[in-house]
Amino acid sequence: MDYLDCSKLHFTSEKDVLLSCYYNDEKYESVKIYRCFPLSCPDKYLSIKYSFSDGEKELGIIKDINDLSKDDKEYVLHDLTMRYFMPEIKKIKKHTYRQKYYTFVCETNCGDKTIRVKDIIYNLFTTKNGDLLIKDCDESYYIIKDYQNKKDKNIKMLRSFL
Amino acid sequence: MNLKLDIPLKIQEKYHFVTYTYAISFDLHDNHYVDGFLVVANDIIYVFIDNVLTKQYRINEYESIKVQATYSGGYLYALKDKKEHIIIEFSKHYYDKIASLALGIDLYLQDGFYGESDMMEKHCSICQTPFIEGSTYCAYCNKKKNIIKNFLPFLLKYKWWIILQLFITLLVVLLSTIRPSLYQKIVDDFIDAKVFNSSFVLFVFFLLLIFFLNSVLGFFKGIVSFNVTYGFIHDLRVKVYDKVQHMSLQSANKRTTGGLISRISNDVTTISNVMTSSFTYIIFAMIQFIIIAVLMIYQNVLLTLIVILPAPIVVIICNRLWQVIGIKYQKNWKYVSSSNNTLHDILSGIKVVKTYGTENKEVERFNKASKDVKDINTYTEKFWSTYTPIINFIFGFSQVIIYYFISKSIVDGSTVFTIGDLIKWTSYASMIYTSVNMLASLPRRLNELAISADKINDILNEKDEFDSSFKENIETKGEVVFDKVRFGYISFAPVLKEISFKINPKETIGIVGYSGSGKTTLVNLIMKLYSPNHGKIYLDGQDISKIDSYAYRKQIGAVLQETLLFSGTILENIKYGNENASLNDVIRVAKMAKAHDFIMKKEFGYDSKLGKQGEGLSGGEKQRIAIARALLANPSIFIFDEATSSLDTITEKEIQDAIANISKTKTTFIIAHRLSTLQNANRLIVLNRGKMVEFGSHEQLLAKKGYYYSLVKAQYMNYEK
Repeated sequence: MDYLDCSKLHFTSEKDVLLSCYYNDEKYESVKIYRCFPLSCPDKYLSIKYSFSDGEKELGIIKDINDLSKDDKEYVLHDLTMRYFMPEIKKIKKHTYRQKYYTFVCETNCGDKTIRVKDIIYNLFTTKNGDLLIKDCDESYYIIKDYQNKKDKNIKMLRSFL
Repeated sequence: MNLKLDIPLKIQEKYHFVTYTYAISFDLHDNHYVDGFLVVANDIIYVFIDNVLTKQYRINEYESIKVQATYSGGYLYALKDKKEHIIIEFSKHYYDKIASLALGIDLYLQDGFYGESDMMEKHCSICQTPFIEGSTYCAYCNKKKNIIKNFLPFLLKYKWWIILQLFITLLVVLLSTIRPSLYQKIVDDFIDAKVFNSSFVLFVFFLLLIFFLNSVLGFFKGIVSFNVTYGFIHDLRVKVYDKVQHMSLQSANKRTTGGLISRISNDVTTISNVMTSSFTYIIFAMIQFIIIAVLMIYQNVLLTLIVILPAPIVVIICNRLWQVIGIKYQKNWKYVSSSNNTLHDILSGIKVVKTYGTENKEVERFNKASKDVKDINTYTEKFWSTYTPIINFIFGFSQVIIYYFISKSIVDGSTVFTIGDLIKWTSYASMIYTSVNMLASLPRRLNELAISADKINDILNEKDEFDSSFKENIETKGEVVFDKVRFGYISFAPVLKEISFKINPKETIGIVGYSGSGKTTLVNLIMKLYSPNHGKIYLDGQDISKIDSYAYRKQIGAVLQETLLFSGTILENIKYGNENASLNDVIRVAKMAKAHDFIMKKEFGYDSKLGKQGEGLSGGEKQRIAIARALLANPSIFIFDEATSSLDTITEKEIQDAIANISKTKTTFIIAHRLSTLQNANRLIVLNRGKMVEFGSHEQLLAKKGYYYSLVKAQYMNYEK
């Protein structure tokens, strides 16, 4: 297994440019970080890939994000947030139903957003962590963490579709 | 797809873009929702966040512009020295548009001009709701009018039937509205008065007659309705199919095969059902509602209001209940389907289950799936059992009020109401509510109609590739000229670039290059299946875009790698392109195609029946039938696209002999994987990544030691290995 030795791995960041990294003193430009288990284990087993010919090649796997230095961890988390962009719904302010579409006016951790969901029965998913995923009509995902314990009555209403 | 939106006023006021190439919106910055806008003008990309210019990129300073998908969207980036510079981030809603923009800018970087998107819009420009696949009708905005205009001619064909249907409907309604008055008469004048005479018998007979006439009219209405509905479906389906057959391949390729089948079968049926059956029911309901309402108002305004006023509430409650019950049943289907999938998984993978000894785990998995189905079924049925009495209660409610008012006034003796009135008014109430319920389904039906009609209009409004009535034949020698031809299936992603050559009549031309180099695309253009985006193709000096496609294609014979033969005899298959050919000619072309000998070995010779897709013949035999079929049409240009690549060497040799026979008298284009098979070609077109890199004879190109030489060498080394 190509687990990376985090003591030999360092990331550098430039504004609006993908991360670069040094590993064993070799530089890799515009590396991409992927989660092996995006839902069940998002901060462990992170695959680092770099551009190679016309595709990508895996440099190796970081076993745990906490093995990285504080700065590196921040860089990696920032890249992951962009690559796995999934707003967390904090509150559903309003919901309406029309022509097979449910429209939810939501407050998310990324700002306010109106989500439209078609055939809601087929577009709500629960995870083993007790979270609820919503897939909107554009196939973007939104997460409601620990949805069973939310007080918001509109979030509670979603349970009737599960 | 519109990549040139109007620039927001706030940006325009400050930056005054006079001309610009692209302008689109986006929604993310640094993982937060923003009001983003991107403008491409004067070869510079300007990025605005909340109307403030935050970044700009000089396009020429970068190697390429691309899009990278992420979990719920993507980012647009510019590549320079292996570094990916992130220009903007966006959610999935914007993906198609920004990916098209990236292709357009990238085309500029590679070839010096910006591309235009010919993709269909995916979202409504007003409310941003995604369109249903294949449609550009927005159920929210209803921005399209005259959506049924295309279908009216089909209805007009049945106008007398439709008029008859409406007339019968009117009669049925009239008869129905008489019934309550008859009940009243019978109750008041005979039962209440305890009179039994010939008039009573006559009234009962009338009642019976009305029931009888209603049944007879219902029977005729059914016959008329079926006639109109199935006639309409047939006519529209044939018209749509005819359109699909005559649309250009470019247009056909924009749609999936499944999508086209669904339009020809499902959408046509939906349109017909709504336009012929549903509308009749709705007209029935409207007429019934109006007649009963007028009768009621005429007799008693107060009671009319008591009956009619709760109607909107009933509609709202019914719609809400239908919505809830709809969700319950959808959930039910979801769980049943999930349980079936689990069962399918376990049973089809039973060998794996046994190998891993996980029988108990799988029993538990199915147990859970089955229990979920049991729970949801119980819950749904419980709800359904509650729903029916609620509806009955709502419908019965106004009747109870009628009972109350009329009974009270009868007992008080305050008005002139009778027991017969009581029966008549409760019948009116019931009829009014039935009509209201039918009318409540109108928006749903109209929406179904609009979506299906839009999908069918999309095909019906497509321009025919050529006039099918035009049958002029042209005489050609077979000189083909390409003049700076550029083509891409998506116009801004060119597959062929700046292709120019001149082929003399009766020349044999080999087309070579690696997979994806554009060989098949080149012959598709020769066949006029697609039109170049730039440049011209000439046949005998005449621009082929000016030649009728039907007449032009008669001059082309094509044999492709995948041979499609139809069910029928060998004779019918060979004569497919020329129904009038003589048997003499059939045998002549079969011999030229080296097919005659194997055909004659069949029990019924040329009359031997072939199964679906030529079942019963080997690959080589099918190819030779296809060659004979193409030869019989007597084209002046022949195209062989990998016609021998899937055959064994002996069969390949036989087909090559057939091709050699043909190429003596026709201009022939051959695409072949094995370069050795092209040695007899007069000249070779060598393609690499869409560009013609070399053009000359086999010997000339070998002597040049260029790209073709390296291809031959690579293949030779492969054979040696």
